[in-house]
Amino acid sequence: MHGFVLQAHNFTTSEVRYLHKYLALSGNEFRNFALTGQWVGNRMSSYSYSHRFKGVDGDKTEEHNSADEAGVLDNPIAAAAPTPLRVDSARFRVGTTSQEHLLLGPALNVLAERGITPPADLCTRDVAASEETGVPVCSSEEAATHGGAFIFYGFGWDMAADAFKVYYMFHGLSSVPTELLRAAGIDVRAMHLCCCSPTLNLNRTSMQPLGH
Amino acid sequence: MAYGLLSYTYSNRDNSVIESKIYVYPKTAKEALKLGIKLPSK
Repeated sequence: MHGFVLQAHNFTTSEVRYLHKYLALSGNEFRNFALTGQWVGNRMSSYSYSHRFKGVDGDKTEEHNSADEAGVLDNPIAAAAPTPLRVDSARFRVGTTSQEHLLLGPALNVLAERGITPPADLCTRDVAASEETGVPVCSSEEAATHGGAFIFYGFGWDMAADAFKVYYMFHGLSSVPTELLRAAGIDVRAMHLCCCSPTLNLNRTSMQPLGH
Repeated sequence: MAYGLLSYTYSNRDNSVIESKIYVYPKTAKEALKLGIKLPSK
């Protein structure tokens, strides 16, 4: 039997509402990801979480996301699952690849509560969500999915690091401010020739992303 | 078409930015081909 230990963190009221909304939408999110193909961002996961197992086999960390559980990616760790005695769940990220318009309102409340200003180019693909939140509608569906806009992607909590993460999705490098591209070492001219790019770290630190 | 995400990490103590990252995909030629992107032959 697993013993789950969720590290102490006091979620704010807005964060709890966001999490409740995410959970209420998770069925459709998974369906969109696994069956209907309505996700945006080529198999990017709508959630991920990590567990550290403390058991007879020593410490072991597992990363999970919706791609794993939809059978999209191999998960050799799950195939050879040990028998853990205790699970420390310190990090998780929850968001959306297909329902940003439904999570946007609760997400903006979280940002406002924390005093975090979203990117100036944040937009939504849904008119009703725009009217509800004041976030402008992406200039067109084409722009929202193929360049020119940031859409909300998700939040993450890292209890061990006492940190909060915010993710925005973009499509097309034209969405990314030039200074960010330069800071990341991206040569835009080269990108036209070779669309392959490593995961880039603006601050050159060793911290790894959650689930990506 | 490249796509990806911006990631900002904030301290829970004062909501200051600890780190910012940009992730750009596809990361490999194989992923690019799956997206239907035509790669140069050489």
